[in-house]
Amino acid sequence: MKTLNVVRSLGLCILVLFALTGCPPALQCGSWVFTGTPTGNAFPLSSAFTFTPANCKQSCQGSQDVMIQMTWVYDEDLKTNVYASDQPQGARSTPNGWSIDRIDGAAHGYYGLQNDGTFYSGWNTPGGPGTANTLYDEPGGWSANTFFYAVDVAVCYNSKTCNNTIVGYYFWSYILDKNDVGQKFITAPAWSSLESEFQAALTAWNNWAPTSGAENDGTDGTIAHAIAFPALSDL
Amino acid sequence: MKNFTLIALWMLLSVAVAGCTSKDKDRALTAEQSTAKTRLEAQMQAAAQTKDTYHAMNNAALLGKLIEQSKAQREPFNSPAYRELQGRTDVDAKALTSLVKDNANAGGILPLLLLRKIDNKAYLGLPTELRARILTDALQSSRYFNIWGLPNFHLGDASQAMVEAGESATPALKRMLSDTRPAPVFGSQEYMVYKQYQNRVCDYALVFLEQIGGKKDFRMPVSVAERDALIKEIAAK
Repeated sequence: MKTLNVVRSLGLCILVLFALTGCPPALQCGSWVFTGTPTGNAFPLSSAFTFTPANCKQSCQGSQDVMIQMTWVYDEDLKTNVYASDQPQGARSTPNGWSIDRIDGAAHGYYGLQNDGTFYSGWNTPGGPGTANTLYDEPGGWSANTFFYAVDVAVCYNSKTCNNTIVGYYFWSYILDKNDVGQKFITAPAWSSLESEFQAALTAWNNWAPTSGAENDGTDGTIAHAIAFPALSDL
Repeated sequence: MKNFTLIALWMLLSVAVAGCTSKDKDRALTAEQSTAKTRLEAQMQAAAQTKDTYHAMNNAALLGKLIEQSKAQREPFNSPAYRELQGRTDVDAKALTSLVKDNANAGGILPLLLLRKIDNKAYLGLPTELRARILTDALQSSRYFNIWGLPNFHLGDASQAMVEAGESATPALKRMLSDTRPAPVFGSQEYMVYKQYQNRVCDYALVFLEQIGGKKDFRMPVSVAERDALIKEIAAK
Protein backbone atom coordinates (compact mmCIF):
# COMPACT_ATOMS: atom_id res chain seq x y z
CA MET A 1 0.00 0.00 0.00
CA LYS A 2 2.78 2.38 0.94
CA THR A 3 4.58 1.49 -2.30
CA LEU A 4 1.39 2.14 -4.27
CA ASN A 5 1.04 5.59 -2.69
CA VAL A 6 4.62 6.47 -3.58
CA VAL A 7 4.06 5.31 -7.13
CA ARG A 8 0.85 7.33 -7.40
CA SER A 9 2.58 10.43 -6.00
CA LEU A 10 5.50 10.08 -8.35
CA GLY A 11 3.13 9.54 -11.23
CA LEU A 12 1.32 12.73 -10.33
CA CYS A 13 4.66 14.57 -10.18
CA ILE A 14 5.59 13.36 -13.61
CA LEU A 15 2.24 14.46 -15.03
CA VAL A 16 2.65 17.94 -13.54
CA LEU A 17 6.18 18.14 -14.86
CA PHE A 18 5.11 17.28 -18.38
CA ALA A 19 2.21 19.73 -18.28
CA LEU A 20 4.39 22.62 -17.21
CA THR A 21 7.34 22.01 -19.54
CA GLY A 22 5.01 22.06 -22.56
CA CYS A 23 5.05 25.92 -22.43
CA PRO A 24 3.86 27.77 -25.58
CA PRO A 25 6.11 29.98 -27.76
CA ALA A 26 5.36 33.73 -28.13
CA LEU A 27 1.72 34.63 -27.54
CA GLN A 28 -0.57 34.16 -30.54
CA CYS A 29 -4.26 34.95 -30.20
CA GLY A 30 -4.87 34.50 -33.89
CA SER A 31 -3.18 33.62 -37.14
CA TRP A 32 -0.67 35.27 -39.44
CA VAL A 33 -0.45 35.42 -43.23
CA PHE A 34 2.79 36.83 -44.60
CA THR A 35 3.28 37.49 -48.30
CA GLY A 36 6.12 39.08 -50.20
CA THR A 37 8.94 38.43 -52.63
CA PRO A 38 12.17 40.42 -52.79
CA THR A 39 12.68 42.44 -55.96
CA GLY A 40 16.11 43.93 -56.54
CA ASN A 41 17.26 44.92 -53.08
CA ALA A 42 13.75 45.77 -51.89
CA PHE A 43 11.20 43.50 -50.23
CA PRO A 44 7.58 44.59 -50.81
CA LEU A 45 5.44 42.65 -48.37
CA SER A 46 2.31 42.41 -46.31
CA SER A 47 2.01 40.94 -42.83
CA ALA A 48 -1.60 40.22 -41.84
CA PHE A 49 -2.88 39.12 -38.46
CA THR A 50 -6.44 37.90 -37.86
CA PHE A 51 -7.38 38.15 -34.23
CA THR A 52 -9.30 35.21 -32.75
CA PRO A 53 -9.92 36.14 -29.12
CA ALA A 54 -11.27 32.68 -28.28
CA ASN A 55 -7.75 31.29 -28.88
CA CYS A 56 -6.77 33.19 -25.75
CA LYS A 57 -10.01 32.49 -23.93
CA GLN A 58 -11.28 36.03 -24.38
CA SER A 59 -14.07 37.68 -26.35
CA CYS A 60 -12.67 41.24 -26.85
CA GLN A 61 -15.92 42.21 -28.50
CA GLY A 62 -15.69 45.32 -30.65
CA SER A 63 -11.92 45.63 -30.26
CA GLN A 64 -9.58 47.03 -32.88
CA ASP A 65 -5.99 45.81 -33.34
CA VAL A 66 -3.15 47.57 -35.14
CA MET A 67 0.55 46.90 -35.72
CA ILE A 68 3.77 47.95 -34.08
CA GLN A 69 6.98 46.89 -35.80
CA MET A 70 10.48 46.74 -34.42
CA THR A 71 13.56 46.13 -36.52
CA TRP A 72 17.21 45.20 -36.26
CA VAL A 73 19.52 45.45 -39.26
CA TYR A 74 23.00 43.93 -39.40
CA ASP A 75 25.90 44.86 -41.66
CA GLU A 76 27.98 41.72 -42.08
CA ASP A 77 30.97 43.64 -43.49
CA LEU A 78 31.29 46.07 -40.63
CA LYS A 79 29.94 43.57 -38.07
CA THR A 80 27.60 46.10 -36.57
CA ASN A 81 23.91 46.92 -36.57
CA VAL A 82 22.85 49.82 -38.75
CA TYR A 83 19.98 52.29 -38.94
CA ALA A 84 18.16 54.31 -41.57
CA SER A 85 18.47 57.58 -39.67
CA ASP A 86 20.01 59.30 -36.68
CA GLN A 87 16.82 59.09 -34.69
CA PRO A 88 16.72 55.47 -33.52
CA GLN A 89 20.49 55.03 -33.21
CA GLY A 90 21.27 55.28 -29.52
CA ALA A 91 18.47 57.68 -28.68
CA ARG A 92 15.55 55.29 -28.87
CA SER A 93 17.03 51.85 -29.38
CA THR A 94 17.41 48.99 -26.91
CA PRO A 95 20.84 48.00 -25.55
CA ASN A 96 20.86 45.33 -28.28
CA GLY A 97 20.04 47.91 -30.96
CA TRP A 98 16.41 47.02 -31.74
CA SER A 99 14.13 50.00 -32.31
CA ILE A 100 10.50 50.73 -33.02
CA ASP A 101 10.24 51.14 -36.79
CA ARG A 102 8.85 54.62 -37.52
CA ILE A 103 9.97 57.27 -39.93
CA ASP A 104 11.50 60.43 -38.45
CA GLY A 105 8.74 63.00 -38.09
CA ALA A 106 6.18 60.47 -36.88
CA ALA A 107 5.03 61.28 -33.35
CA HIS A 108 3.39 57.91 -32.71
CA GLY A 109 5.08 54.55 -32.46
CA TYR A 110 2.17 52.57 -33.96
CA TYR A 111 3.33 51.67 -37.45
CA GLY A 112 0.58 53.29 -39.51
CA LEU A 113 -0.62 56.05 -37.17
CA GLN A 114 -0.09 59.53 -38.56
CA ASN A 115 0.28 62.66 -36.50
CA ASP A 116 -3.31 63.70 -37.31
CA GLY A 117 -4.59 60.56 -35.56
CA THR A 118 -5.57 58.63 -38.69
CA PHE A 119 -4.04 55.43 -39.98
CA TYR A 120 -2.38 55.60 -43.38
CA SER A 121 -3.72 52.62 -45.32
CA GLY A 122 -0.49 52.32 -47.28
CA TRP A 123 1.23 51.33 -44.04
CA ASN A 124 -1.39 49.62 -41.85
CA THR A 125 -5.08 48.80 -42.15
CA PRO A 126 -6.41 48.06 -38.63
CA GLY A 127 -8.35 44.87 -37.93
CA GLY A 128 -10.57 43.35 -35.26
CA PRO A 129 -11.86 39.93 -34.21
CA GLY A 130 -12.11 37.96 -37.45
CA THR A 131 -10.87 40.84 -39.62
CA ALA A 132 -7.27 41.07 -40.76
CA ASN A 133 -4.97 43.76 -39.39
CA THR A 134 -2.47 44.24 -42.23
CA LEU A 135 0.93 45.89 -42.24
CA TYR A 136 2.54 46.92 -45.53
CA ASP A 137 6.24 47.48 -45.81
CA GLU A 138 8.95 47.63 -48.43
CA PRO A 139 12.41 47.77 -46.89
CA GLY A 140 14.87 48.65 -49.60
CA GLY A 141 18.12 50.32 -50.54
CA TRP A 142 20.19 48.37 -48.04
CA SER A 143 23.68 47.46 -49.17
CA ALA A 144 25.15 44.05 -49.93
CA ASN A 145 25.73 41.64 -47.05
CA THR A 146 22.99 43.10 -44.90
CA PHE A 147 20.51 41.13 -42.77
CA PHE A 148 17.15 42.81 -42.10
CA TYR A 149 15.07 41.49 -39.20
CA ALA A 150 11.61 42.62 -38.11
CA VAL A 151 9.06 41.66 -35.50
CA ASP A 152 5.43 42.66 -36.08
CA VAL A 153 3.29 42.92 -32.97
CA ALA A 154 -0.50 43.13 -33.10
CA VAL A 155 -1.96 45.19 -30.25
CA CYS A 156 -5.47 46.27 -29.33
CA TYR A 157 -5.71 50.01 -29.77
CA ASN A 158 -8.38 52.53 -28.87
CA SER A 159 -10.72 49.68 -27.94
CA LYS A 160 -13.52 49.43 -25.40
CA THR A 161 -12.45 45.89 -24.58
CA CYS A 162 -8.96 44.36 -24.29
CA ASN A 163 -7.40 47.78 -24.89
CA ASN A 164 -3.58 47.99 -24.86
CA THR A 165 -3.15 44.22 -24.94
CA ILE A 166 -0.71 42.39 -27.19
CA VAL A 167 -2.38 39.65 -29.19
CA GLY A 168 0.32 38.28 -31.52
CA TYR A 169 3.98 38.42 -32.58
CA TYR A 170 5.49 37.62 -35.99
CA PHE A 171 9.09 37.47 -37.14
CA TRP A 172 10.24 38.08 -40.71
CA SER A 173 13.56 38.73 -42.35
CA TYR A 174 15.44 39.12 -45.60
CA ILE A 175 19.07 39.15 -46.65
CA LEU A 176 20.92 41.26 -49.18
CA ASP A 177 23.49 38.90 -50.68
CA LYS A 178 27.00 39.81 -51.86
CA ASN A 179 25.51 41.17 -55.10
CA ASP A 180 22.99 43.29 -53.17
CA VAL A 181 20.10 41.13 -54.33
CA GLY A 182 17.36 40.51 -51.78
CA GLN A 183 16.66 36.97 -50.65
CA LYS A 184 13.77 36.06 -48.40
CA PHE A 185 15.20 34.55 -45.24
CA ILE A 186 12.93 33.31 -42.48
CA THR A 187 9.33 34.26 -41.76
CA ALA A 188 7.58 32.59 -38.84
CA PRO A 189 5.63 33.28 -35.64
CA ALA A 190 8.03 34.89 -33.22
CA TRP A 191 9.58 33.18 -30.23
CA SER A 192 9.09 34.30 -26.69
CA SER A 193 12.51 35.87 -26.00
CA LEU A 194 11.58 38.50 -28.59
CA GLU A 195 8.69 39.53 -26.34
CA SER A 196 11.11 40.97 -23.78
CA GLU A 197 13.11 42.66 -26.54
CA PHE A 198 9.87 44.26 -27.69
CA GLN A 199 9.15 45.55 -24.19
CA ALA A 200 12.66 47.02 -24.15
CA ALA A 201 11.97 48.73 -27.49
CA LEU A 202 8.76 50.23 -26.09
CA THR A 203 10.67 51.48 -23.06
CA ALA A 204 13.36 53.00 -25.28
CA TRP A 205 10.69 54.83 -27.31
CA ASN A 206 8.98 56.07 -24.16
CA ASN A 207 12.24 57.31 -22.62
CA TRP A 208 13.07 59.18 -25.79
CA ALA A 209 9.62 60.59 -26.60
CA PRO A 210 9.52 63.61 -24.23
CA THR A 211 12.90 64.80 -25.56
CA SER A 212 12.35 64.05 -29.25
CA GLY A 213 11.75 67.63 -30.25
CA ALA A 214 9.06 68.71 -32.66
CA GLU A 215 7.58 66.02 -34.89
CA ASN A 216 6.01 66.85 -38.22
CA ASP A 217 4.90 64.24 -40.77
CA GLY A 218 2.99 66.68 -42.92
CA THR A 219 -0.47 65.62 -41.79
CA ASP A 220 -1.33 67.93 -38.93
CA GLY A 221 1.21 70.65 -38.30
CA THR A 222 3.89 70.11 -35.71
CA ILE A 223 3.49 68.09 -32.53
CA ALA A 224 5.70 69.30 -29.68
CA HIS A 225 7.28 65.89 -29.17
CA ALA A 226 6.74 62.18 -29.78
CA ILE A 227 3.98 60.39 -27.87
CA ALA A 228 4.80 57.62 -25.41
CA PHE A 229 3.13 54.23 -25.63
CA PRO A 230 0.77 53.20 -22.85
CA ALA A 231 1.75 50.07 -20.92
CA LEU A 232 1.23 47.13 -23.27
CA SER A 233 1.00 43.56 -22.03
CA ASP A 234 0.04 40.16 -23.38
CA LEU A 235 -3.68 39.46 -23.53
CA MET B 1 6.28 8.76 3.97
CA LYS B 2 3.36 11.06 3.33
CA ASN B 3 5.57 14.07 4.16
CA PHE B 4 8.28 12.80 1.90
CA THR B 5 5.79 12.48 -0.93
CA LEU B 6 4.48 15.98 -0.43
CA ILE B 7 7.97 17.43 -0.26
CA ALA B 8 8.98 15.58 -3.40
CA LEU B 9 5.87 16.84 -5.17
CA TRP B 10 6.50 20.44 -4.19
CA MET B 11 10.15 20.18 -5.21
CA LEU B 12 9.23 18.82 -8.59
CA LEU B 13 6.54 21.47 -8.99
CA SER B 14 9.03 24.23 -8.13
CA VAL B 15 11.56 22.92 -10.60
CA ALA B 16 8.92 22.68 -13.30
CA VAL B 17 7.60 26.19 -12.66
CA ALA B 18 11.09 27.69 -12.56
CA GLY B 19 11.86 25.85 -15.73
CA CYS B 20 8.80 27.28 -17.46
CA THR B 21 10.74 30.38 -18.47
CA SER B 22 11.32 31.93 -21.88
CA LYS B 23 14.08 29.40 -22.39
CA ASP B 24 11.74 26.48 -21.94
CA LYS B 25 9.20 28.08 -24.24
CA ASP B 26 11.92 28.21 -26.88
CA ARG B 27 12.27 24.44 -26.72
CA ALA B 28 9.00 24.34 -28.67
CA LEU B 29 10.56 26.23 -31.63
CA THR B 30 10.46 24.86 -35.14
CA ALA B 31 13.71 24.19 -37.00
CA GLU B 32 13.17 27.42 -38.95
CA GLN B 33 12.63 29.50 -35.83
CA SER B 34 15.69 27.92 -34.22
CA THR B 35 17.81 28.78 -37.24
CA ALA B 36 16.65 32.39 -37.20
CA LYS B 37 17.11 32.69 -33.45
CA THR B 38 20.62 31.21 -33.55
CA ARG B 39 21.72 33.43 -36.45
CA LEU B 40 20.22 36.55 -34.91
CA GLU B 41 21.76 35.96 -31.49
CA ALA B 42 25.19 35.31 -33.00
CA GLN B 43 25.01 38.55 -34.98
CA MET B 44 23.82 40.51 -31.97
CA GLN B 45 26.83 39.19 -30.10
CA ALA B 46 29.12 40.14 -32.98
CA ALA B 47 27.69 43.66 -33.00
CA ALA B 48 28.24 43.93 -29.25
CA GLN B 49 31.82 42.73 -29.75
CA THR B 50 32.40 45.39 -32.41
CA LYS B 51 31.10 48.03 -30.02
CA ASP B 52 33.49 46.77 -27.32
CA THR B 53 36.39 46.77 -29.78
CA TYR B 54 35.83 50.40 -30.68
CA HIS B 55 35.29 51.29 -27.05
CA ALA B 56 38.75 49.91 -26.28
CA MET B 57 40.44 52.05 -28.95
CA ASN B 58 42.25 55.26 -28.11
CA ASN B 59 41.23 58.55 -29.72
CA ALA B 60 44.01 58.50 -32.31
CA ALA B 61 42.99 55.07 -33.55
CA LEU B 62 39.35 56.09 -33.58
CA LEU B 63 40.08 59.21 -35.61
CA GLY B 64 41.87 57.02 -38.13
CA LYS B 65 38.81 54.81 -38.37
CA LEU B 66 36.58 57.86 -38.54
CA ILE B 67 38.23 59.23 -41.66
CA GLU B 68 38.24 55.77 -43.22
CA GLN B 69 34.50 55.39 -42.63
CA SER B 70 33.88 58.97 -43.75
CA LYS B 71 35.57 58.28 -47.09
CA ALA B 72 33.49 55.10 -47.37
CA GLN B 73 30.38 57.33 -47.05
CA ARG B 74 29.25 55.80 -43.76
CA GLU B 75 26.57 57.87 -42.10
CA PRO B 76 27.45 59.21 -38.62
CA PHE B 77 24.84 56.93 -37.07
CA ASN B 78 26.29 53.90 -38.90
CA SER B 79 29.95 54.63 -38.28
CA PRO B 80 31.21 52.65 -35.27
CA ALA B 81 34.01 55.21 -34.85
CA TYR B 82 31.61 58.17 -34.84
CA ARG B 83 29.27 56.42 -32.41
CA GLU B 84 32.12 55.86 -29.97
CA LEU B 85 33.77 59.27 -30.35
CA GLN B 86 30.56 61.27 -29.87
CA GLY B 87 30.23 59.85 -26.37
CA ARG B 88 33.77 60.72 -25.29
CA THR B 89 34.58 63.90 -23.40
CA ASP B 90 38.30 64.03 -24.20
CA VAL B 91 38.32 64.27 -27.99
CA ASP B 92 40.83 66.92 -29.02
CA ALA B 93 39.01 69.54 -31.07
CA LYS B 94 42.34 70.64 -32.60
CA ALA B 95 42.98 67.12 -33.91
CA LEU B 96 39.51 67.06 -35.40
CA THR B 97 39.99 70.49 -36.92
CA SER B 98 43.22 69.33 -38.57
CA LEU B 99 41.44 66.27 -39.91
CA VAL B 100 38.75 68.50 -41.42
CA LYS B 101 41.29 70.80 -43.03
CA ASP B 102 43.27 67.86 -44.42
CA ASN B 103 40.11 66.44 -45.98
CA ALA B 104 38.46 69.47 -47.51
CA ASN B 105 36.01 67.48 -49.60
CA ALA B 106 33.28 64.85 -49.16
CA GLY B 107 35.73 62.63 -47.27
CA GLY B 108 35.84 65.16 -44.43
CA ILE B 109 32.14 65.05 -43.61
CA LEU B 110 32.28 62.83 -40.53
CA PRO B 111 35.06 64.79 -38.77
CA LEU B 112 33.20 67.99 -39.68
CA LEU B 113 29.90 66.79 -38.22
CA LEU B 114 31.63 65.38 -35.14
CA LEU B 115 33.37 68.69 -34.50
CA ARG B 116 30.04 70.47 -34.84
CA LYS B 117 28.52 68.13 -32.28
CA ILE B 118 31.22 68.10 -29.63
CA ASP B 119 32.69 71.62 -29.98
CA ASN B 120 30.39 73.95 -31.83
CA LYS B 121 32.61 76.95 -31.08
CA ALA B 122 35.59 75.30 -32.77
CA TYR B 123 33.29 74.26 -35.61
CA LEU B 124 32.07 77.79 -36.17
CA GLY B 125 35.70 78.88 -36.07
CA LEU B 126 36.28 77.02 -39.32
CA PRO B 127 35.98 79.15 -42.47
CA THR B 128 32.40 78.98 -43.70
CA GLU B 129 33.67 78.35 -47.21
CA LEU B 130 35.49 75.21 -46.01
CA ARG B 131 32.39 73.91 -44.26
CA ALA B 132 30.29 74.63 -47.34
CA ARG B 133 32.79 72.94 -49.65
CA ILE B 134 32.78 69.72 -47.65
CA LEU B 135 29.01 69.66 -47.28
CA THR B 136 28.17 70.45 -50.90
CA ASP B 137 30.79 68.02 -52.17
CA ALA B 138 29.29 65.35 -49.91
CA LEU B 139 25.78 66.10 -51.19
CA GLN B 140 26.92 65.99 -54.81
CA SER B 141 28.67 62.66 -54.36
CA SER B 142 26.19 60.90 -52.07
CA ARG B 143 25.08 57.47 -53.26
CA TYR B 144 22.45 57.24 -50.54
CA PHE B 145 20.97 60.28 -48.86
CA ASN B 146 20.16 59.04 -45.37
CA ILE B 147 22.81 61.32 -43.87
CA TRP B 148 20.70 64.28 -45.08
CA GLY B 149 17.35 62.94 -43.89
CA LEU B 150 14.07 63.11 -45.79
CA PRO B 151 12.58 66.46 -46.90
CA ASN B 152 9.18 67.08 -45.34
CA PHE B 153 9.89 64.57 -42.55
CA HIS B 154 13.21 65.07 -40.84
CA LEU B 155 16.45 66.70 -41.93
CA GLY B 156 19.55 65.44 -40.15
CA ASP B 157 22.57 67.21 -38.71
CA ALA B 158 24.29 67.38 -42.11
CA SER B 159 21.28 69.23 -43.57
CA GLN B 160 21.18 71.65 -40.69
CA ALA B 161 24.90 72.29 -41.14
CA MET B 162 24.26 72.97 -44.82
CA VAL B 163 21.62 75.59 -44.05
CA GLU B 164 23.93 77.15 -41.44
CA ALA B 165 26.62 77.50 -44.12
CA GLY B 166 24.19 79.85 -45.85
CA GLU B 167 25.45 81.98 -48.73
CA SER B 168 28.74 80.08 -48.86
CA ALA B 169 26.85 76.97 -49.94
CA THR B 170 24.54 78.77 -52.35
CA PRO B 171 26.63 78.72 -55.57
CA ALA B 172 27.21 74.94 -55.41
CA LEU B 173 23.58 74.31 -54.45
CA LYS B 174 22.39 76.40 -57.38
CA ARG B 175 24.52 74.30 -59.72
CA MET B 176 22.87 71.18 -58.28
CA LEU B 177 19.42 72.50 -59.23
CA SER B 178 20.04 70.94 -62.64
CA ASP B 179 21.04 67.57 -61.20
CA THR B 180 18.05 65.26 -61.60
CA ARG B 181 19.90 62.16 -60.47
CA PRO B 182 17.78 60.06 -58.07
CA ALA B 183 18.52 60.63 -54.38
CA PRO B 184 17.55 57.30 -52.80
CA VAL B 185 17.54 56.40 -49.13
CA PHE B 186 17.69 52.95 -47.61
CA GLY B 187 15.25 51.99 -44.88
CA SER B 188 11.79 50.69 -44.19
CA GLN B 189 9.17 53.46 -44.19
CA GLU B 190 11.96 55.77 -45.38
CA TYR B 191 12.36 53.79 -48.59
CA MET B 192 8.59 53.81 -49.16
CA VAL B 193 8.50 57.60 -48.77
CA TYR B 194 11.42 57.95 -51.17
CA LYS B 195 9.50 55.90 -53.74
CA GLN B 196 6.46 58.13 -53.24
CA TYR B 197 8.37 61.41 -53.61
CA GLN B 198 11.04 60.19 -56.05
CA ASN B 199 13.52 62.61 -54.47
CA ARG B 200 16.39 63.84 -56.64
CA VAL B 201 19.61 65.73 -55.90
CA CYS B 202 17.98 68.93 -57.20
CA ASP B 203 15.15 68.50 -54.68
CA TYR B 204 17.59 68.51 -51.78
CA ALA B 205 19.25 71.58 -53.29
CA LEU B 206 15.84 73.24 -53.58
CA VAL B 207 14.99 72.58 -49.92
CA PHE B 208 18.35 73.89 -48.72
CA LEU B 209 18.17 77.03 -50.87
CA GLU B 210 14.63 77.79 -49.71
CA GLN B 211 15.65 77.41 -46.07
CA ILE B 212 18.81 79.46 -46.56
CA GLY B 213 16.55 82.10 -48.14
CA GLY B 214 14.52 82.30 -44.93
CA LYS B 215 11.72 79.78 -45.49
CA LYS B 216 12.55 77.59 -42.50
CA ASP B 217 9.21 75.76 -42.73
CA PHE B 218 9.44 75.14 -46.47
CA ARG B 219 7.60 71.99 -47.48
CA MET B 220 8.45 70.37 -50.78
CA PRO B 221 5.50 69.55 -53.08
CA VAL B 222 4.86 65.85 -53.61
CA SER B 223 4.45 66.46 -57.34
CA VAL B 224 7.71 66.45 -59.31
CA ALA B 225 6.22 68.94 -61.78
CA GLU B 226 5.50 71.43 -59.01
CA ARG B 227 9.01 70.98 -57.64
CA ASP B 228 10.45 71.59 -61.10
CA ALA B 229 8.51 74.85 -61.30
CA LEU B 230 9.95 75.99 -57.98
CA ILE B 231 13.43 74.93 -59.12
CA LYS B 232 13.07 76.97 -62.28
CA GLU B 233 11.99 79.98 -60.24
CA ILE B 234 14.84 79.81 -57.75
CA ALA B 235 17.43 79.10 -60.43
CA ALA B 236 16.41 82.28 -62.20
CA LYS B 237 17.09 84.47 -59.15
